[in-house]
Formats: sequence, structure tokens, C-alpha cells
Amino acid sequence: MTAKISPDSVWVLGAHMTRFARYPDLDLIDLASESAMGALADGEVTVADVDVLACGSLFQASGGIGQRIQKQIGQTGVPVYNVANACATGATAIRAVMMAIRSGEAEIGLAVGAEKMGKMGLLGGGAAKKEKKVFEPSGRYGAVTGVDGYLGTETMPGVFAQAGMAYAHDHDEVGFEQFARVAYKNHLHSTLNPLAQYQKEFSMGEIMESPMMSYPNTLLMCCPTGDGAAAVVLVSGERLASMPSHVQKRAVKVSASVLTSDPFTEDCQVQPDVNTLTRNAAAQAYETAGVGAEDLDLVELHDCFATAELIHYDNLGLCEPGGAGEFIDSGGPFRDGATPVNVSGGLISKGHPIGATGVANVFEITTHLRGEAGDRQVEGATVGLAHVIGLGSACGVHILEKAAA
Amino acid sequence: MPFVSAIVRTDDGTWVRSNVVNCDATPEAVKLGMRVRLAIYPIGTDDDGTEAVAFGYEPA
Repeated sequence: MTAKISPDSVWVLGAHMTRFARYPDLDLIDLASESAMGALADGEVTVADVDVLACGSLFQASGGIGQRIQKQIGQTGVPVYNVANACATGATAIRAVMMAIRSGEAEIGLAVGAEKMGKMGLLGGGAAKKEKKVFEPSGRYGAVTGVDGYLGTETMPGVFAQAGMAYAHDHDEVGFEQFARVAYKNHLHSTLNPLAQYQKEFSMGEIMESPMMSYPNTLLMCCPTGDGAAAVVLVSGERLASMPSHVQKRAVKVSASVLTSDPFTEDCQVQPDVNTLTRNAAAQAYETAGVGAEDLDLVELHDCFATAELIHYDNLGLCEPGGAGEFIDSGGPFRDGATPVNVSGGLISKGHPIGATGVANVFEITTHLRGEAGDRQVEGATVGLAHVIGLGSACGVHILEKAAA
Repeated sequence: MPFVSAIVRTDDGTWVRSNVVNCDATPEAVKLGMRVRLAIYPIGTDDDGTEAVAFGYEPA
């Protein structure tokens, strides 16, 4: 399955990511600029060719990160969008550029995602707040103290543990071991990816016996915080058609770019629903691209926790309905399985600098479809899907296709 | 300190996020679908000696 260049299509022209890591000597602008310049060079264009810039950074979007990057890579006066959209920030930046190209305002656009988190600790639930010494009712609910940990939890490990346990409750063949196997796979995959924050294999025993964070997710089943950046250059089909053939051959078609939020569910006021908006995004993406889950040669999905990856097998239709446990147990998402998932190592081992993640997933798929993924290459890959979800919620799905020879 | 976070559906269909209290925080002691009942419990005392209470649920 390969794609031809039609004038109204949109393509990835260049892509780059830094290794995800902790960079005490580089700041956010250094990392973002490195990726921006890398993606432009990869696409054989310069900043002078770029008609629009979107820059995603969850924690720095309000600080004008896009304009600060321009001061490093070139201030050409083009429109800049600073994007924050939870863990879907990077995917939303790509989509902002997509829409600019589709509208006819831009022919070439640059999407950058970057985050510098260091050792930030766990996110969500106001985890870092200190208690008052005098109890006084405040806020919408008249609470006298932080309530996370007393009235349930909104911390990320807690929320995604609950989502996994709800799936396990409904499916007898899913339990602690199946969730652990997801983490085993992703740590194993990361040993082939030099861009991953961690590149270390762990045994099932080591994973299951590492410190319990939020049952059933142990420490080795949770993604780390970290630093990193990724960037992609997008181009209209019309413009791509005028470019040299060696550039066209490396271009990758964006066959679907979808963003969804939560529809109402009866328990949506007390717990995030990570399933419905992912299912809705996948359905829209498959329909738009004219591609089915069975056509996918690889998937990069949002495994912020092992529980999340398992339920997304079902949400993205990678397994039979209800069959996520059997899918992981049968080896389906391993790199030699039916549908390799997170051959990059995923968020669990490649890392999750939030704003960069949704762009890095598109970089990963692009690199495989070009046949340039080195030791981790999925041989003969022609179609791939990149998925991210951020709580609140926002879900981004991109389907990419290799160019016709 | 481990705690048990739960989503409780009351008999009239209202959903509540809270803790399950007065039971061990282990997967063996807490099962999805188990019946629970309201249980008020203390969550701390401020420097003036005022006690704060929260609502939780305990195994029924």
C-alpha cells in the first residue's frame, strides 16, 4: 500500500528528533532549534521556505517558545502558533500546520514539539502542593486541604491504573502479568533505538517486582520524565510534485490527521475516559485514510503506562474486541508480531518529554516508512499509525503512508 | 502511605471519586464491583487543632 502525490494531499518532507534524555547543559530552545534545523535539512529546505510555524510545549507554550525558536533558526515573519494540549500537544502542533496547508495559506510548514522536564516527578492531582497549616474552606468545593489521595486520585499513575483495572475487570484473561508483558516488550524494543532515553532490557520478574506505583503499574511500567525535541516539515502535494524525485521518494503521506475530545459519558465528571475519544479518533482516521487496522505495518501509541498501551490495542482495533490480553500474550505487538507496537521503546522506555512526544511518534513512523530506521527497522513497512492522548482530554491520530516508487 | 482510590457508583446512579477505607490496600482485599458504604474519616488536624474530615467508602 503506497500513496501517489495528489495536489490536495499533505506530506512529511523532513523529520528529526533529538535523543530523549536529561540534558543539564542544554535548554528548551537549544533542543527545539536543533530539531527544527534537523528537520529542515532532512527535507532539503531552509527556514526561508517555511510559510507557517507551530510549536508545541505543554509547559512553555505561554512563554512564546515558537518566537524564541525563530530567534535561533530565522525570523522570517511568518505566522507562529504556540500550542499546549496536554499530552497531545505535539500532535496538535502538527495538525495546526496541516490545517494551514490544507486551507491554502501555506505550502510548507514546520511543526516542532519540545519539553524540558528534568526529574519532575509524577504529574497530576496537584501532587506538589503543600497543606495549609490552618484549615479554611476555599475554592469551588470549600475544601480545607488538597484532596488528592483522600478523595481518590487524579495523579497520572492512578488514573491510568484505574483505566487498566476497569478493562481487567471486564476481561478475565487480563491481569498483572499481561500489563507487565507490555512493559517487558517496550523495554526490549528500546535496546535497538539509539534515540531512546533508556535502552535496557528488564526481565518479567524485574518488572513485576519493581516498586509498586499504582496497582497494577510498577515503576518499570511507568514512563519517565525527561527532555527532548522533535520536528517535522510538512508540504503540500502540489509543491512536492515540483521537487526533485529523490525528495519525493523520501516523502511520507499524511493520510489522516485527526484530533478528538471527550464526548459525554455518565461517569466523566469523576474519572477521565481515555477510551471513547481514542476509539472515535481511530474510526475517523481509518475512514479518512481508507486504511484498516489490519493494514498497519507498525503503530506508535501512547503507552504513558503499561495499562494504557494494553487498552489501546482494543481502542485502536489492533486486536479482536476484548482481545487485548490474548494479543499481548500471543506476541502480536512485539516487533516480529502481527502488528508491531512501539518498536521505538514507547513512552515507557524511549521517554516522554510531553510536547515532543506527538511529533516524535510521527518521526518514528516516517523513519520506518522510508526504510531508514536502522537496527529497529520494521522491514517493508508502508503504512503506520501514530497515536497520542492527553488527559482533559485530547487524542491525536495520524496515519502515514509510504510514497509510491 | 498506600491508599485505595476508587470510582463508586451509588445505587441511584451517581458516580463518586473517593477512597476505599477501613480495608487493606492490597489487590486481594479490594475487588472491582465490590459493594461499599459511606464512611466519614479524619484526614488531618491543623495548627489550631481543627480536624478535617473526608468522605470515603468502606467494604459493606
